[in-house]
Amino acid sequence: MRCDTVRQMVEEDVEISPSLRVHLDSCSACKEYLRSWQAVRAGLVALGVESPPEPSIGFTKRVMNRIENAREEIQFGEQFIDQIGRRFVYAMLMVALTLLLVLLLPSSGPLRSSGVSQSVLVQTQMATLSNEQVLGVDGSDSGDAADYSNASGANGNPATRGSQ
Amino acid sequence: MANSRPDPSQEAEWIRRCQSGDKEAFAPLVDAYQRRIFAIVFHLVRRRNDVEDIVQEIFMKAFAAIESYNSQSSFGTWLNRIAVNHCYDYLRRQRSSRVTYFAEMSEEGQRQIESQSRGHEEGGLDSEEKLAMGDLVRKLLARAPAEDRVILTLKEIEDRSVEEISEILGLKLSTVKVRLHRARKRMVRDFEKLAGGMVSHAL
Repeated sequence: MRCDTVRQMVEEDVEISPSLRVHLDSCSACKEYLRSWQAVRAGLVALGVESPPEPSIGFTKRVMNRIENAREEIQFGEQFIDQIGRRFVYAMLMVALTLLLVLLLPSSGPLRSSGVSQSVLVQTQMATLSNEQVLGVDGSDSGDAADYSNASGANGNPATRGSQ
Repeated sequence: MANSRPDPSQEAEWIRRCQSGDKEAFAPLVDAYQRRIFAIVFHLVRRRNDVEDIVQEIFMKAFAAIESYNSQSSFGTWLNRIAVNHCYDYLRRQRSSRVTYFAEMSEEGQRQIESQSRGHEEGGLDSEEKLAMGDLVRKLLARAPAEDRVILTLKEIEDRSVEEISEILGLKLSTVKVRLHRARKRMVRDFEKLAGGMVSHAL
């Protein structure tokens, strides 16, 4: 019989059979184990006899109060997230959107490049001139306006040259 | 306060009401199980002053998790499982903040152990010696790993069957048996280490 098997049997309070007795008589280590285990078990049993404390008066009410308080805390947390948290998220979205606009808009803002600004200026001037001709501001007809438009494109308007 | 196990159909009705959000239905369940949970927590933790707070936390946990209770095991077993897991975490926290081993043992404690060791060799323990042995085992348990402490308490102090322990801890029967044997061996080894040390010191 193996020592470990003997020790497991000893722990389980198995009735000492003749073969177990033979092993215990011949194996001092297992005999010692049996003695020690019996001492430890006596201690464990003594601990079991000790009576646990009684719940104090109003224990159930205190538990229920704690549950109620915990629930209120959870509800408060949910409300906080619902009200403050949502506003915070909106504010953050606005900040993010503003930042995005600041990063994307410089090309059409006051810092735009000179080349772009000139082409925009020329387009505006051409549109003004063609409008003047269509409306007959200088007294000529629309055919003259087309000629003038061609002439101003070919001649020396520095703004037009610059854009070409 | 009620102590006896409630009528199963009544208990099932309270649980159903709790699960549908009726907080008040939890109060009779606390009434019915508080003593049982006090006992198991006291046996595991062994700190009288902390027991009530711990039991309150266990009931709060149970209420928070009651929707997950599905009647596969009895409500008592389910509650025991929550209690044991809670105590297990508590013990692990306690143990991690403690100086290890026998350094805390007083001279008086050492004399008691020596005396118990000799008394046991001479055969049998009287009631006073049993109490002293209980005190020694309490100290050994306090220094044991939380896993050993839980399984030994359930088996040797709470006197639960291996089947019950397997249900409470959610382990296979064979695993419970192996862990139990390992925990007992460690207790015996620690006891011999201490008692042997005392005897050799006395010689």
